[in-house]
Amino acid sequence: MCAASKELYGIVRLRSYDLPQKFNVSATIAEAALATSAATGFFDPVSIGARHFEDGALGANNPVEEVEGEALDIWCPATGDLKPLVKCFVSIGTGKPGKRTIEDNMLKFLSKTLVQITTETEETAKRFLARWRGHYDKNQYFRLNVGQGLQDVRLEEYKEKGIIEAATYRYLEDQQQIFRVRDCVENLKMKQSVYIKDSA
Amino acid sequence: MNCDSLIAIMLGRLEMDVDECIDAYTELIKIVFQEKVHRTPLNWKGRVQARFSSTKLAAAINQVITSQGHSPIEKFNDGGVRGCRV
Repeated sequence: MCAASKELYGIVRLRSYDLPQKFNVSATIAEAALATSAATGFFDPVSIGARHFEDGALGANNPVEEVEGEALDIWCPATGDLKPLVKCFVSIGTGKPGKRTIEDNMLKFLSKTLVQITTETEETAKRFLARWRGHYDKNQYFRLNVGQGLQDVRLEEYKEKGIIEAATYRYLEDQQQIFRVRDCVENLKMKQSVYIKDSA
Repeated sequence: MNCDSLIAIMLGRLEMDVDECIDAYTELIKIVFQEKVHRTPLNWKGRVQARFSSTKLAAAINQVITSQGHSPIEKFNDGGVRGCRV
């Protein structure tokens, strides 16, 4: 899980598990939840021990590369050769952001930055797909992201659950997605063990 | 710009199922986002400020944690082995 560190001006990973050779921030469940929420920019900064976590506007809005880095640290810290170890990689997006979201959320002079952030999630997905094309080709990488219908839904619009549900079902009922989800399920069904033994 | 990591905590650390997560998350954002604390993300000094109540968020989070039989002051990494790492 990611949070934005004030001290490092960068992303810090908070873990619910041990990772040898990595320093782990010792947080409670509630602190971890608050620290990661602070990164949205909607809430106050949070302190855990001597560390501060705050708005991570330039952080990992699509944390797929963080997940890749973490998997590498867990499964192949010595070689860094992650790809042969991954049978299925699923990335789930939160919808493509539209214009209104951006205009409403920030004052005009800030919107340029926000446009960059929201485009960044798609750029990250594109970059990741390019590097993991082999997995994509063999139905081992899946990216699911509702493309249409969520543009006008904002985080704080809790009343719009119906719109989210409708747009998501429409997305999943698209023939392209039906086949993708089927392939993803087929892949996941072949999973044999829950835990991959740490090869550290 | 969303609270998807809260769902990660619910699924991975609190080991809630998907339907429980949807219910808990819906309830949580209702409590937290019902009223805005500040209209704009900047204060008069031009500094970024919180737009929603962190107190409400903390209370809502604690409620989810305790409803699952855990304590908010339990360590995120308590050394337990689970099927999912978050």
